[in-house]
Amino acid sequence: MIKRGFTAMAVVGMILAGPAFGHAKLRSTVPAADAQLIEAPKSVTLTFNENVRLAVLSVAAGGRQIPVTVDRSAPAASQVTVTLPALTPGTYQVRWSVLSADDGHATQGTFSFTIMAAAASH
Amino acid sequence: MSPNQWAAALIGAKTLGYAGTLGAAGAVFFLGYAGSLITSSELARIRRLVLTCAALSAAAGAAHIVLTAGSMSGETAGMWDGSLIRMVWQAGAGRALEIRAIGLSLTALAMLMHRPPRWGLLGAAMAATSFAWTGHAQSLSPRVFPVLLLGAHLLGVAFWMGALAPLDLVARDGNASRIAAVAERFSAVAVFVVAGLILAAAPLLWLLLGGFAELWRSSYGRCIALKLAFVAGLLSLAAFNKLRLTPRLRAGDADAVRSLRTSIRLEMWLGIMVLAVTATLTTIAGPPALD
Repeated sequence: MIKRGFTAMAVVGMILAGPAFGHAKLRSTVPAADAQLIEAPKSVTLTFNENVRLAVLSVAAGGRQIPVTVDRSAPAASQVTVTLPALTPGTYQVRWSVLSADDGHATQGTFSFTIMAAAASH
Repeated sequence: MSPNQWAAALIGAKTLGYAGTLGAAGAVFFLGYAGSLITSSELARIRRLVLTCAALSAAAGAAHIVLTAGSMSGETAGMWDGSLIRMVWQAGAGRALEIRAIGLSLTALAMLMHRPPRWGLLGAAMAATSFAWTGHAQSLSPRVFPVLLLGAHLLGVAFWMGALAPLDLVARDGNASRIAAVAERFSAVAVFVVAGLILAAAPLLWLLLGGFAELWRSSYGRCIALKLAFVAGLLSLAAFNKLRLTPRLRAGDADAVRSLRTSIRLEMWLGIMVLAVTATLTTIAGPPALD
């Protein structure tokens, strides 16, 4: 009974803490989250509150992975940029994962942006 | 695996890592101050306990590194991705694990002696404080003071939590006066160690929270508040053991032995909860002062 009570309290603790991993904080992205663009972006840039090393950045559209290259040997920086291939109109989901240079903790997140159909003419 | 499943696996591995490391270190400290009061069969059990805890710590540390790599990739295959594992290792986890491995190796070697030599105690201290080589305290600037505070706090936690299993082993014997002697030896040192542990934690908490109002405002603070509630329970049990049970043990009261064993087991469960909440807040919540 006591053990169950303690376990329940620990679960409550996890709920209190919220569902997201949270150490290095993402300050902004380019393109911005939920942006609707008339021109396809050439790159994705993530800005954090501290120096990080980019571990994973994947871009997908309609379940199709867009090939991007992540340099895992790059030095830690508060801003990381990944070059994108030529993108066609559609909605793209970006999933990223970084390691904090200071505390070694992993942080991850997702956001999406849309390239409007009109962009095809650009 | 979903992000929450990765988080749960990471918290589990970290909790086991804390329990194994602090358990091994604390048991070695226990032999240092109470080794002369225990029997050879108890010594053999405590040696096995130290070796088991050290093996658990090593396995949990390795598991935490591969789970971190997997959680970053979002796929189980990421756990075996060499470049991701290298990144995690280079980000501080590797250095902490190396120091822990050296410390635990020294403690394991010290178990060959009847009483742990100084280098065995040094190994236990190295292992216990290895967690300060990575984590939130490393993000504060300047980092020297908070890292030293965390190191002192970890030594205190190892002393306290790591003594519980050896105390339970001694209490199994049922000899009330001998149990009282061991409990008194522990209490004599614990009063100062626990006071030091709290004195080290308070300024560290203030530095990480950036103000005590964050205890209820932020998710990190709410986790800390839950941890403090468990610690209050531990302190109450420790005071009960010292002020009520130890005098009864000294008087040869056999019922007090049973009460002490129940109390120690409750302390062990509370201790595991403290470690689990610590693992949670260091895995999924960031300190407000670093926002």
